[in-house]
Amino acid sequence: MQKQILTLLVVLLATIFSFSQDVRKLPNIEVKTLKGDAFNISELDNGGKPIVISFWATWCKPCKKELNNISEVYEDWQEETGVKLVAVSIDDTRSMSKVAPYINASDWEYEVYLDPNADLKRAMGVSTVPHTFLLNGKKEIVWQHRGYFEGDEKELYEKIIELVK
Amino acid sequence: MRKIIALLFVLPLLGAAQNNSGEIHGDFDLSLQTYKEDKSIGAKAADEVLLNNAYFNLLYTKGNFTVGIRYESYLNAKADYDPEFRGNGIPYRFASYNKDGLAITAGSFYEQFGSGLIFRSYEEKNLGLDNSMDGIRLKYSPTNGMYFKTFIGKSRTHFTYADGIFRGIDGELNINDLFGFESKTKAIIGGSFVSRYQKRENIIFKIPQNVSTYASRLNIIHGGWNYFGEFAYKINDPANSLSESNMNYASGSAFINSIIFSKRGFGVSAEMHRTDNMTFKSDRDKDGKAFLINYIPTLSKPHAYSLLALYPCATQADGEFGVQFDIFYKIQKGTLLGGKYGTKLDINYSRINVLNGGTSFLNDHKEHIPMLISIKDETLYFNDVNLEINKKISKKLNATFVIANQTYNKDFLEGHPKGDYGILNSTILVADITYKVKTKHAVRIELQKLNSKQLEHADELAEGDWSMCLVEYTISPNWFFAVQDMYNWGNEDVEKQLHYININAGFIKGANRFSIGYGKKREGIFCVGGICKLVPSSNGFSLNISSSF
Amino acid sequence: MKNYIALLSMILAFTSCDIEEGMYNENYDSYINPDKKVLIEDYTGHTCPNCPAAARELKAIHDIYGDQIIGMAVHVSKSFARPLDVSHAPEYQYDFRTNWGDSWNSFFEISIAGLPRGMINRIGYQDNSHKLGKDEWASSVANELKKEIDFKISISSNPVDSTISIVTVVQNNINSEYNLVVCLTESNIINWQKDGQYNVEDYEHNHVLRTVLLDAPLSNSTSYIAGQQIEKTINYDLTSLEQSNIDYSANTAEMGNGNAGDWVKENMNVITYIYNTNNYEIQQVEEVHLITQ
Repeated sequence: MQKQILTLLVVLLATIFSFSQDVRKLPNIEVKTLKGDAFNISELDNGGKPIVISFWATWCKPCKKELNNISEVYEDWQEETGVKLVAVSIDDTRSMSKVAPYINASDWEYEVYLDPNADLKRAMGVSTVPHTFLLNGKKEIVWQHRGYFEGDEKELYEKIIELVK
Repeated sequence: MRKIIALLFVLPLLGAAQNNSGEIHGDFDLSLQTYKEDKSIGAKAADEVLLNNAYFNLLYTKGNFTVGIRYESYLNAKADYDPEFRGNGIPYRFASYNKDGLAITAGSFYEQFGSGLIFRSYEEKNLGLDNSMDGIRLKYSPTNGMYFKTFIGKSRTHFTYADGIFRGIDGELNINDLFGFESKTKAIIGGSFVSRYQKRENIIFKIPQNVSTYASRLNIIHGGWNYFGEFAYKINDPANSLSESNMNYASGSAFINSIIFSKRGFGVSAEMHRTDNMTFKSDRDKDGKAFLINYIPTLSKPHAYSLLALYPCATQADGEFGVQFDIFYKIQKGTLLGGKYGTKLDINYSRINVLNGGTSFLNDHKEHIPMLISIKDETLYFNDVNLEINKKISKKLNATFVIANQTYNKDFLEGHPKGDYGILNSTILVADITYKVKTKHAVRIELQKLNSKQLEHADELAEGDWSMCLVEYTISPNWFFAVQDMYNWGNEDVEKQLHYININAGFIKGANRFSIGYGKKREGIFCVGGICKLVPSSNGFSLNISSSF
Repeated sequence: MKNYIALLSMILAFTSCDIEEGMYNENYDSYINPDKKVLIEDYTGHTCPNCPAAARELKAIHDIYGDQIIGMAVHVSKSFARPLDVSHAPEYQYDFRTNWGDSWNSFFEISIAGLPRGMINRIGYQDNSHKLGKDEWASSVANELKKEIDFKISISSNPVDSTISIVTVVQNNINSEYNLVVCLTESNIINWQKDGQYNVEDYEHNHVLRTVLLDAPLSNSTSYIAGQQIEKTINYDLTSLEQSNIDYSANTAEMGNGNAGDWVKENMNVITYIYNTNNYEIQQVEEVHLITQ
């Protein structure tokens, strides 16, 4: 009997989600900056221009590949669209100390935050990394993509361009 | 009863469908595997033929209020998960409210105090580890630059709770923000206290019912320098045993330190830690990773390449001393070694050894306090020195090379008697090359080689040398195909010189991912953060569907 | 103001920590029923390095409570109890497994949860709390020893004509289905055992399960009256029992080698217990030497 209730519950929830709003905003969760300060992710701001949030970790090869490939064209992207890329690292205490040295040695110009106990990761429904979100000028999540293959940054850029048109 | 409460959490979701003012989103994952018998690799068939793990997370947010629920299903759980994961249930549900610096959560929550030395409640699905707390948590930030967190609850183990009741408080002060100075140097201090209550009845020994742990931490930042240190202490925490030789009344301690310096093109990090009798469990009498409530990460590099992670190190919370160094350097483009695009180097060194004489021990007949720092002549657990070179060779070609040498005390780290397997020393080479065939099409080839030898006489036959080859073809943005072979050509046991072949393919669109695979997997140890699980060998199909919405 | 109240209400009262000075508990006072006996089944294996610690815990519990504690070591699991192949000879060549041990292990799902693991009077099966790690045995035994008994068992073993007589005296009026089980165990078997960091050549294996002579209904009724006596006599043939273990090891057990003989009857004990067939819980247990010393 209880198993039936549970199954019904799950089906009900799945149908509810199909009626849910398309508007999805950033959750009210705190992450840390590289300088140890707390930062509420919902306060991210780019003056009405698009924002890309990318979840990564120093042990995740495709994540590093994605962010390194984008860093080569980041300046161009910023000039053309004003987009800002925010890289949220889910490294826990084991590898957290390697984040700052890795970023500096890789010459990344992104805004970087730390999410050591996966609070933001869970709140945004991320299960594996890399997972990238695109927010429009109103800070609403309009597109997301997980995994990374060579060339995926082209699709991301097309979506960004659509937002600024 | 619990299921009815879980249902109540769902009512606001129904409301949302009417009002359209809140947000609902979530994610789910279904992972299925078939297990066929394969005597050559020691793989057992599953009676059920196929085993699956699945979960479904749902979150509803409206203004400052959030409600979440997770349904998990194990019919039955895959072979690398604890067998206690059986059946279906809603082991995770919470409601939280966040306003004006005060956040209250009722129900299930995850929490970490400091770096987790005395308390970390988290989930790691790859390990089958989830010790979420169920209770109440408050977080309050009265002014900019300080916060307090407090909670009370029981920890989850599989579909039930561990016996201990936990109460904790943590506070952090950002000195510069609090006192309003502007300075190039910044200091953040923090302290935490966690106590576990568990009833006990022991006819001969006195066992504390309330075991407390304390920790204090300090973070100093000055320009490109960053120092972090945390010290943790646990009072006596003996098990409820009647055997005197088992009773250890020694207190526990752990100390971790790291210094980082980074600037454009260069970064260096040095870490050291010492743990002594610092295993803190949610039930004093049970064993296993499902009962750990603190987190002491292992001081070694988490390797992403399979042969580099063949012999992983697991943290010995009961007693170890370790150091780790990392240097990240980018050789600028245009120079001789840098080439057209620059070359990135990553040098890593880590070494972990046992405490002098073993862990602290104290009872009426025996007392041992290990030396504070002792490296020379101590039994080595693990040593890893490796160099990773990343180079973009041309617009179409990108390569990564790794050379490493690892020493792995197999007897100790895997719990075998001394002399069975001895200490292994392996030299590993990896080449990972990506070639962009044309726009949006890329092929990646990985070649790895491991040469290993036993450093001292061992009774058992050595696993010996391995080679690995992987070819992966990706079509952006949706498709991937991969074939992999791991070949144990150097095994001293001729019957075990086997090929472990796997093929995988998948489709990714947006946040949806489907993948199927087929092949043989070697029996191994898979570690995340220093906690390990034993993965039995298997032969069969696997299917994975996951999505986020 | 509201904020400060919130802050204060957050500092929950934490009890002081109990730092213990000295070990022994002078104040512990608890009732034990002197007629209640408890069976500790220790599931183990000769290549399981963590298992001797459980055997030591069993001995420590026995040293405290004396004859009220009856131990049985059941060697199970291919990984921890199978004899190693001849290339390892003379180490770990013996096969301590039996078909009853393997089938109990399979039914109660013990070794899949990791060894060492045990059961105390097989309680807790209905809510899956029957598999206990060695540090959980002491409190479980203390609870069992407080219980009322419904049966008293006395065993008399006559090795001359190879018979065992069991007399069960019912203590209360009860209504349920019970089975009577009679096993033989052997102690003082000197053979290899992995113990922590060591390979021990002359380890003393005690109360190892050898055979189950009987596992049948106590009577053909489900209602019992206080004072009622039930007698049962069994015949046994040690030679054929030994042979059947040898055959099990050679033919049926996973990777067995038939090396399960060399029984020493002077070191054997008879263990008898009565269990409730609905929940498998053992109501009473008794033990005597096979050959009176």
